[in-house]
Amino acid sequence: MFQRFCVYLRSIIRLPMLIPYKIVDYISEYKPEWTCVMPVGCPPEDVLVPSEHPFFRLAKQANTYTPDDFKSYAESDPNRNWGQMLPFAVGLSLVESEAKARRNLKLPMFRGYKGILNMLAL
Amino acid sequence: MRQLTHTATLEYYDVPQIITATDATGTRYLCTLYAQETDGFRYLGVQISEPRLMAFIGGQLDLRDAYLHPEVDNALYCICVTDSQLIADPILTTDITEAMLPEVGYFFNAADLAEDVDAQIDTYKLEVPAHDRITFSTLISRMGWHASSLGKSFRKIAAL
Repeated sequence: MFQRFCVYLRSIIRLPMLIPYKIVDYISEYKPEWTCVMPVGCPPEDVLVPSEHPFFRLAKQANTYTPDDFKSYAESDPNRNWGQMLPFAVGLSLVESEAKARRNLKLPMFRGYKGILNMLAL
Repeated sequence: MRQLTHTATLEYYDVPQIITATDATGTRYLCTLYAQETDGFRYLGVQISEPRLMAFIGGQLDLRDAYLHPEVDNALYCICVTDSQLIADPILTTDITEAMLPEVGYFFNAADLAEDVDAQIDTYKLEVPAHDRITFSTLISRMGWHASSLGKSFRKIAAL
């Protein structure tokens, strides 16, 4: 009911928002295809589905992106036993604030990164 | 070599980037991820007092300064994280390379913690002296904590 209200609201005022969904409802409505084999518990039972919502992700190049920018830790190190951390290792982080993304560029792990991808989730 | 216990994740991006930890004596460590090795993640850790840690969380301390100007000698550690175990080995200041350090200008923004949908929320009831209410409300604001009943509580304190 709440999701339908959010979709209705979105049709009237196109505001960026995150709509709470149960993953089973989301799968039955949108029939997504995962890009890798998902471990148990991933995605979680409760998810937030973006609508017209901007996200930012760090990129290795300043003005373009490559598949490496979207490679999870599980993909980059497939032989490692991630144990209980596997659901996190297959995930990728997106941040909602450009300022936070630019701040993260100052961390040691992102020294080689030069850009920020601005993505709009429809 | 000493074993640490993870206490909080301050910055998460794909994996925990900045964490806090304590050792068996209760000493606090501020740890920043700098490498991924085959046997685990490597963090640069620094022993840090609670006031200085609060200054960092409050956005008043540059992360780089926490490592370049520690409060005591021999405060730096290389921390290896494997299978949820945090093992800290002392490291000399002269052994630190630029690649292990954050760039100048990383100031933590506590409001980001409030945006973390997975953040665990505990509820505490505090008795704050009336003369500390401004300091306390400033702290609440800096930490990005939700305090909807704060104004009501302070009016009650003022009335007392």
